[in-house]
Amino acid sequence: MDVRAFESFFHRYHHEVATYALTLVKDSEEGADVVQQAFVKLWQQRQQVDLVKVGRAYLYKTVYHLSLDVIKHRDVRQRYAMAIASTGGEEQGDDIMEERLEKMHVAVQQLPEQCRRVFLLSRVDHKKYREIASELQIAEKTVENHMGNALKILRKILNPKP
Amino acid sequence: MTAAEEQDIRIARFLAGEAGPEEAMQLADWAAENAERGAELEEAKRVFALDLAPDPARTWQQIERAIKPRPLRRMLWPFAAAAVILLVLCFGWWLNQSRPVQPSPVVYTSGPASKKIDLPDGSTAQLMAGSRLTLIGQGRYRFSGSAEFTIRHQAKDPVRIDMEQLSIKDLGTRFSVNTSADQDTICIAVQEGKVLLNASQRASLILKAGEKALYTRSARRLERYAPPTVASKQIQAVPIKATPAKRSRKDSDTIIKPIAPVPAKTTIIKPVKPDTNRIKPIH
Repeated sequence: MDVRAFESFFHRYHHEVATYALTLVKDSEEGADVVQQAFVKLWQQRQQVDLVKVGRAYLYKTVYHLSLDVIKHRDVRQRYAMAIASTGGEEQGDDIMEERLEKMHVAVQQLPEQCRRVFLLSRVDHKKYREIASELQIAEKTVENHMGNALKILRKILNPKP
Repeated sequence: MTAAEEQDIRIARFLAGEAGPEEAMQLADWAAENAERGAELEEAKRVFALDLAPDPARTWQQIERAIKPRPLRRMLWPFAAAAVILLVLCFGWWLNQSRPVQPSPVVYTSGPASKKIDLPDGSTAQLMAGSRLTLIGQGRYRFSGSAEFTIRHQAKDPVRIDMEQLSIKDLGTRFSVNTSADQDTICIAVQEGKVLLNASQRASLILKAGEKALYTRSARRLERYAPPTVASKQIQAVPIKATPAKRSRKDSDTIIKPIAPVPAKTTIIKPVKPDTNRIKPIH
């Protein structure tokens, strides 16, 4: 495999892998780093890994492990700063983003109480389902359901279908 | 629970970062099945306020920088550096191996009076006033002045004493070296055993017990010496292969006794040439 072929491989899978990295590290800078590292690792392993057959799975696994490393090494202060950034949106300056966040804020208020609590713990505090479950003393399955429900309700509020 | 609700739970799990690699791949597969699902996932990402995916072009630039084969010269640098280091190490090792005992020079001086010195190899030297003996290596000395040496002979590693222009190699020996006050003449007298004298590369002489030799620095001349009272012969510096004894026997006509206490030894020599007497015997 030459660099050109690898480049097209990259463009084919970048979007989905980058999305996955974002769900895990919840930060676009760190997400980009993780994705980059994963692709570089794959390139280095190209003699051993059949890109066509298992390249994608290799990427996902690498992204997963690299992301866990990133999260593990993040200190509390960083997490706090990130929580502020993702709620306050001050750094993200532009109007569309602010407007969306405002809309979002309003929408979140309309979620049922427990559902809202779960949603904010997950999206703002970046807590794992397991952590939320133990904090609220509910089953993890219930957390899952709340999150699914929040998605359904918010989608309706934010993007009312004609 | 409807299928749509179950799907929302799956999407929410994925977006909340709960999905392992397998699960994430399955969801991506699901979204890739048709455009509608793709749009649905994108919408869910917005609803969950997921950060925007990084710009692929920028990411690719960074990846490319990391994976592009570097120019050959730059790739060779580490190898060149390693090779140099290896060479230096080998050279250092070789130096160590070839000279296992390489002490820093030890200098013996007599001071104003004569002094007896025990040398590390078991030999002794009685240094006369103003003499200087330097141990420069195993069995290797540099010497100036006058002294009596008693060398413990080692056939494998004969002791060598280098003087300016002249070197004395022991072949199992007690001998003395005297340098004239003007430093021009060196007299070597062997009491026991024999020594090999080397003045430059061309002139060499083997001295046996009871024999003496003179070396004149200004004339660069090495010669056997017999007291002028009896006879003496100047021996031209001869190539090391030619043994002086044989030659002198061949054209001999005089038999004299050596001056040294060793009695048995006789040397047959020609009468002395007049210019030999220029050198004042010092011993």
